[in-house]
Amino acid sequence: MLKHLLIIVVAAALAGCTQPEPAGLAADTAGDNGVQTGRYVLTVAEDEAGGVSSERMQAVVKVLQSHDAKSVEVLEGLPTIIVTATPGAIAAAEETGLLLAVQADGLSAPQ
Amino acid sequence: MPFLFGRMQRNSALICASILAITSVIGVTAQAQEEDAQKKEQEEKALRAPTLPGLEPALQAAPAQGVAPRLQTVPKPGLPGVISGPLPQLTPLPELGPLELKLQQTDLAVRVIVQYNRAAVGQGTSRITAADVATLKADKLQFANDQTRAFMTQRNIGTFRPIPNLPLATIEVTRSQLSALAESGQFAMIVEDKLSAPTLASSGAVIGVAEAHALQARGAGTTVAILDTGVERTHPFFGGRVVEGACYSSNVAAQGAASVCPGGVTSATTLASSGPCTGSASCDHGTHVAGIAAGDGGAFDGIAPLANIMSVQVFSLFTDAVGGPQNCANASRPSPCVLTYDSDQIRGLQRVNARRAARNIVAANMSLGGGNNAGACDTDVRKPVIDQLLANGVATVISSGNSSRVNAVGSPGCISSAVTVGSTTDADSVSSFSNMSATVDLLAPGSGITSSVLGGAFASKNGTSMAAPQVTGAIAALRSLAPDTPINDILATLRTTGINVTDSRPGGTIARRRIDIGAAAEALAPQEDCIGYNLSAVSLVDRGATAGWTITDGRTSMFAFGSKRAEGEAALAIIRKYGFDRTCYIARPQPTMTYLLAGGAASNAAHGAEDCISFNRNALQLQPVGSQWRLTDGRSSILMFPNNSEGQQAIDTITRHRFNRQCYVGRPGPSFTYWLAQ
Repeated sequence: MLKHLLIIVVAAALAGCTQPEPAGLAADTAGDNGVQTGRYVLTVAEDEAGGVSSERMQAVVKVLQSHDAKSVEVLEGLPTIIVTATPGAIAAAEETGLLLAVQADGLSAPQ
Repeated sequence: MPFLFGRMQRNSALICASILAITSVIGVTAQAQEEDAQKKEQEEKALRAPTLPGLEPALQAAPAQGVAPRLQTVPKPGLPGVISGPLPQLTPLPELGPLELKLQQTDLAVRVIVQYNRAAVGQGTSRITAADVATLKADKLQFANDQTRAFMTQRNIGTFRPIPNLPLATIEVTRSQLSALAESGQFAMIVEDKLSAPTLASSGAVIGVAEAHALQARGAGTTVAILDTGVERTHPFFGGRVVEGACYSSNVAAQGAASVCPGGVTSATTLASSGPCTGSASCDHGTHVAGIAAGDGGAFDGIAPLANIMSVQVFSLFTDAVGGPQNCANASRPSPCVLTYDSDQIRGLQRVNARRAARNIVAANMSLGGGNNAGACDTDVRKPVIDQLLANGVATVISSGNSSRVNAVGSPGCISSAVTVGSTTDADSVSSFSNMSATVDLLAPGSGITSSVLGGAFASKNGTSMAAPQVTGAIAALRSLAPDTPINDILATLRTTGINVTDSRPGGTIARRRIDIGAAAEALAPQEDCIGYNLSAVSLVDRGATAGWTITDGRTSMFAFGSKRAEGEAALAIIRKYGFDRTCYIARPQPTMTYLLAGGAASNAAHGAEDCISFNRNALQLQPVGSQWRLTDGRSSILMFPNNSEGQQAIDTITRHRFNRQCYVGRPGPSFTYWLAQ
């Protein structure tokens, strides 16, 4: 699963994506089993009807929890989940095919 | 007393602005060279920065950091009060001409700014070369100050005020004392301490703020959300209009991040929780941004001075550690610094959405960002909440970034559904620091913008951070003028009424409209049905049996009173008292509402014995009563209308003009009615 995440990152780099570097990844903390965790923000994709059902949200949450995510927060009224978890858990969530976007919780500065 | 204090602070800000202007003018060349060096250094740093390459250095082209930008001739980010770089070579003393000329014309003292020469501060023997700030020693500076103070005392010059940590001071001198100063041998420069107009006022003139305000586009009844470093809600510029607050901040020890919310909590939704953060020079950023959008001062205003403010503090305090995370360093900021997580921004925007209806929030300002994105970044996780807000009539206004890019903007400004704002100068060229790309929606002044900072003071800052709130304020102002106009139509009006500005920097090709709020307000202003009259010719005349006592300006008969002469005289006194010069109507020829305006605006209630009934304009509603519609505030009936449309027009009119009392002459059965605001 880590391999999948690596592939995504490399593909993004090759595609010339200019998103801010995922600061959360760089600032991970060691989890209970020694694997580093980081904070991520996930966007769940809309279904064919153009909405995001609670079932889709829960399906993602279940996967994250089954991979021992340290915290999972579903934002009310939004297709957004804030999660502190290992890269493996994030990769597992991506494998559900339910995610539109995965982003390490990046940083912005006053401009 | 608070007012006086505000004035003093403002004067202090003007003095500072004078000093900054002097150093700026003299130091153009040196600054340009140093900026080039800084840019190169920043680019190199960005290439090797492992975690946050997107965060652009704040210093380049004087972004909105604590130190006033024009003084930034230093090669690295300076801390307030820290001497860290050379001041430029200054004008030699022989060029005292303009000052001497001025003093020849007055016996009054004139305040001057002096700068020590090298000899005065122990940097050599030169008495014509300005002291070098980079190598200035505090004890030598103290010695020079002591020497100067003694010199002044000896000559009865009593207003010597050193400027801390700089080889500068202000002194008030008369004609005879000026020559003594020049002969003291202490100074490389003596120039008049000139006054500068607040730049928010000058940028306001560029974008037509006065014209918009004259049309009552001032933000009344709206709220702007400021997602930033918190807002000093007691600042006199806000007049108690910071009405809503929240704080979202993170404790992530592994990243050196600590919450700045009260008590270190990670979220709070109280007004008290949304004050300015502490621990970083950037903690005045939110107060400055809020002032641009909605400040209301005696000398100058923000764009929407009647709008309320929701302060949403979304930053966390980061501290770099040896061998640990270097988030501040990677962002080219001194540690500790404030940065904000995507997730805290999302929570903040979500809170804005939750309070949208209760506060009539029309725009959320995010003067923040990082990275460089050549195109749209619509997979960004902040897009769903920005989309949700837009669908609910709230524009999210985001600065384009200060990286001087001609083909990229920062994130989240790259989100296509956000309103991305680049910066221009008052001369309508793209600011040197501003990012530009096809993603930029609008331009607004962001160079040298004076606004509120902490401690009730004012200061000037540069940055796209300063441009974005001009658009945020414009949206609030326009919405107050046209409450029923959808947000997309307001944005479209801003996009079509402004001045086209093309990026003329090397490689720049993008052209966007610099907002013109006056023109936008004119385009959106409801066409009121009014008849104007010549106030200076207004009188009460007897038109005989047909009309009786009539108020006329000699051309138009305005109000008829029949035999009630006393009521006609009372009405005439009211017209003159408030300067009413036009009568406006809803639904002529059988008007269901008539109101009087003075110069296109409502008049505020004045002291005096007038027969008025006040009402709550924020609670107006139409209730069906048989075949009619009653306009009520829930307590009393205000007017009746034959249809809902005319009633709605009345609500819009009352809201736009901020009427909150209906007044009469001759109740019951009044012969004359008028409306007043407060």
